[in-house]
This record gives sequence, C-alpha cells and structure tokens, in this order.
Amino acid sequence: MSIDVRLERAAESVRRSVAAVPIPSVSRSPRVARRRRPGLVVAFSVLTAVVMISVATFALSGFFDRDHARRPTSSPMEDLFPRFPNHVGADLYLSPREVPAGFSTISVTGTTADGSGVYGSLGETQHSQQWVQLDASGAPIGAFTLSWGNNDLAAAWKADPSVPVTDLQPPTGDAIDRYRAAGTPVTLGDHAGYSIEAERSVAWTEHGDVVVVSTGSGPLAALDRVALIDIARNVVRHADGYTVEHPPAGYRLAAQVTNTLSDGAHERVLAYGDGQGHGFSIKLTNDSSYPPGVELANPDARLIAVRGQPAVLSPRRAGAGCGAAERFLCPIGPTDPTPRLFLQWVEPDNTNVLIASTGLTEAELRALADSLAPSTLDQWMQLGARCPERAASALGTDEVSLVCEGTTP
Amino acid sequence: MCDQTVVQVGDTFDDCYRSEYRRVLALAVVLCRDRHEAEDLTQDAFVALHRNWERISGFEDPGAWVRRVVANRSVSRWRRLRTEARGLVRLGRQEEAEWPDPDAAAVWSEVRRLSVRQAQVIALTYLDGLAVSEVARILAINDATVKTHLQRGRRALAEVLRETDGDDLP
Repeated sequence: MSIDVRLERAAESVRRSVAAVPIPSVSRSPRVARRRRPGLVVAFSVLTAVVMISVATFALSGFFDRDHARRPTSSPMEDLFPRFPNHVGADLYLSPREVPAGFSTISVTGTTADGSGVYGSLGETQHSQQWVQLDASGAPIGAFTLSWGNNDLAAAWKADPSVPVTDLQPPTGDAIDRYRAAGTPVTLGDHAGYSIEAERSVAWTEHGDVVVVSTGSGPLAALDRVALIDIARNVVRHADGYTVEHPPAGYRLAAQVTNTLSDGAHERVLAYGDGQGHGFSIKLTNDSSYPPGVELANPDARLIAVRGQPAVLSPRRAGAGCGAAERFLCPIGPTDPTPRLFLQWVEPDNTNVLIASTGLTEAELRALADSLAPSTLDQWMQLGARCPERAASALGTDEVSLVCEGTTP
Repeated sequence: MCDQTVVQVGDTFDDCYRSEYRRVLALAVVLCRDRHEAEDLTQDAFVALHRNWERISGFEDPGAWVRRVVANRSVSRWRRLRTEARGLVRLGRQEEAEWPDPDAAAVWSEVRRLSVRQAQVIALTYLDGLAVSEVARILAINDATVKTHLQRGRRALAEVLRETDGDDLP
C-alpha cells in the first residue's frame, strides 16, 4: 500500500469520526455560553453531592456552629512553594552546560505572547487549593482540595472571562443544589451543608459562595469523612477567598489556582533530540499561573530540590503532549515503553521552568536541570543555528514564532 | 470553505461556523493528540474568527483564516493546559480519548512526529483535499515550500510506516 493511500484512508477515518459530532449552535451574544464538558458537569455534580452529604454530617456533629464569616482573616499557611512577585525586566534564558550524550538541539522557539486567555474551568467553583501530605521521599501520600466559587451558577457563568462561541445556555439554580439533592444534610451553625460519602466531599454555602472540601476517590484519598468535616470546621474566609486555618497534621498547601490557567507569558522552548525518538525540552515562561505543586496531586509525583528551589518530578504532567516543540513526547505506538519524566519549578524571578523528557533517567534529568545556567537570547539563537533544519518563515501567527525548527529524526 | 466567494451578502458567521465546524475539527483532531483538546482548539479558533469576523469576512478568506489559526495554535503547548488542567486538582487526571481506528491513529501519530510544517501540510492536503496553492495560502508560505514539505513528510511517513511513496502530489 502506498503512503498516499494510507493517508487517504486515515483522513477518511477522521472525517467519519467527526461526521457525527454535533455542531454546537452559535450564540450571537458577545459573551456566550461556554461549552461545558459532560465529565466536568458530572464531576461537579458528584462534588455537589459530596458537599451535601457532608453538610448533613456537619449538622449532626455540630461542627459548623461557628460562623465562618466572623472568623478572623486567615493567616498564611506554610506553603510548600515560595510565592514570588511577578516577573520584571528582561526574560530569563537558561541553557544546559551539560547535555546528555547523544542529544543535540532540534528546535528553538519563542513567543512574546502574554499567555493570557487560557481558561480552564474547574467546574462550578472558580478557585481551588491543593493540599498534600508527603512522605520522607517527597512523594504525596494524601491530598485534599478546598474549592470555592459563586453559588449562583448563572452569575458564575457570566463572570467567566472566556467568550465562547458555543451555545449552552447559562445554567440555572445554585451550585449547592446538586449536593442538596444527592447528599446528606448537616447542620453547620448558620450554614446549611451536605456531604456525599462516595465522593468524599463536604460542601456548604456562605456569603454567596459554594465551598467544597474533597479528597476525591483517588489513591491519595487518605482522609475519611470525619477528617474532612474537621477540615471544613477549619476553613476560614478572608479577603481573597478561603483557606484552611489548621490543616490535618502533615498537610501543606501545594498549589492554589483559579479557573484561569496559563503556562505563562513569553513561552520559550529549547528542545533536544537523540535521533532515536527521545528528547527533552526546556520551557521557560513568565508568571505562570500553573504552579508545579498541582502535580503533587498525582501519587507518582515527588517533591525534590533543583537549583535551590522546590521542584516537582513526575512521570506525567498536565499539558504535556507531543506538540511541535516536544514531538519526542509522542508515544511510538500504543505500547511505547519509553518513560517520560517532567520536572517543574519556579525561579526567583518568577520564571517557570518545565523540562519534559523521554529517554532520560531521573539522574540524567536532575543533572541536566542542575546544569542550567543563565543565558541570552543570542546564545539560544546560536543553539538554534545548529538545528539540522531551519524554517525560513515564522508560523504566521501572533502567538508563536518559530525561531528555528529541526526535524525529529 | 466559507470564503468570500461562498459567503454571500447576508450570510453570517453562523453560516460559516456551521459549514466549517466539522472540517476544522478534523484538522484539529489530527494535529492534536487529544480529542477534547481538538474540540477546544476548534472552538477557540472560531471564537477568534467571531471576534474578527467583520474584518476577516470583508478582506480575507475566513475558512483559510480559521484553519491557519488551528494549525498554528496546535503548535502551542499551552493549548493543552486548557483541556488537561480542568478538574485535575480536584478530581484527578482525565485520560485522553481513544481513537476509534487504530490504523488511523498510528498514521496521524506519526504525522504529528514530523516537523510542524510537514504535519500541517499533510493534514491540510489529505483532510481537506486542498491543492498546493490553497495549502500555501492557508499557511502563508509559497507553493514550492508546500511541495517540499509534502514530499519530505510523505517520504518520512513512508519510511516509518513501511509503505511506499509514489511521490505523486495529490
């Protein structure tokens, strides 16, 4: 069979697969409904139910006798990761002083885009804290999240900064409704709450917000319902939202995110390959709103130190895929055994560093990270000049300009 | 395509959107690894088209424009954040959608391993059956460059997929 026929067949397969996809209707409103994933809706429903159950528990336990609104402003908890002020001045470039044997530059890309406009809905809550408990090796052994958002679903919808084309109508009702319907009611002082045991979640409303504490049902769901209720008792409201005043022993705040996530501005990526389908990329961005601690929600991640900063080493990383600068991440067939390793941390100037790799051992990856040294754009360009193939033109977009492109052998 | 010659006076963004959505989605599907990501990318491209509709419908080819946006934005890795970050914190990672056709999945997986330009050219050529000049217009490159990327991409695919390459441009 010729490659031409193979491609035609593959194209036809894709055309067939999308032929049945419903076309979302279009709203003419400049701020239209955003497409919501059924999975997210279900997830939110589950969480709502969990909250409802928890509220019931709280009611029985009298845990929520306290008025959250009257609590003092939260004092900052000890975070796993430092919080740096926004980046100012020239962009930071880092180049490896030592490159693993056999690897050479395959691409250098950069953009001056601000990285805004990347919206990721957390469901019906707009803010979330990720709390984790780590073992001695830095691996997470327990986790829970504290999430909150506008209880009025329509109001939350309208506040969504995205301007989607698709047509779903603004939701109606309150976020707590699902918990009320599926959960167990509990009395929480002045707040009515609900608990859903199956979701290990507790939810309530206060000051117009829905607040949810949950472990989910994954491998890091080490806390039971009683513990969740205890956490809920310690949730305090402050000017910027909510936090847990006294988390369970060993738990620390790993990340706080909103539903507006961005990898950061001025994305610049230096990628290497070994000619065998393996490679690694060093991606630098300014002021990322996607903190490394998010990955500690995965049991196979680990907290380590790199260049004097806490970093997360993980075989997976949300957002990592076989894009243009990381084609080496594309699996070679469905059972590609090549391990992936990701390493992310934040430099003191608030430059987010993410190294994505295939074919590197942990030791090689850590050595690579530790070998990074401040560089310049010119030096990066010189590295790009070594690419086996150079693209003469930019990609023709205001978001990405390809400085140099090499082929992945 | 919903280009100027097709979009008549009174035709709207909606018309373009409805006629092009699936075809643009197909392009996004093959250039992205994840189906959900492709859907997001497609919608976002149409959002961008919607925002610029007055200008684009008057002076440019909307169909080409939206394909160019998809082709270029598929390059940007942050695109995936939008898909994969959702629910990650609270509910754990979502697995990516499976391809219904393993052979097609293998072919497009290899296409994505080509250089950006080669992948874009092949996707536009085979999915939409576009001529070299049309692909060139979408990607804002010249015809000769399209031919070069097409030939090199096909040759590379033939090698990795163990197929023959007749080297006949479609």
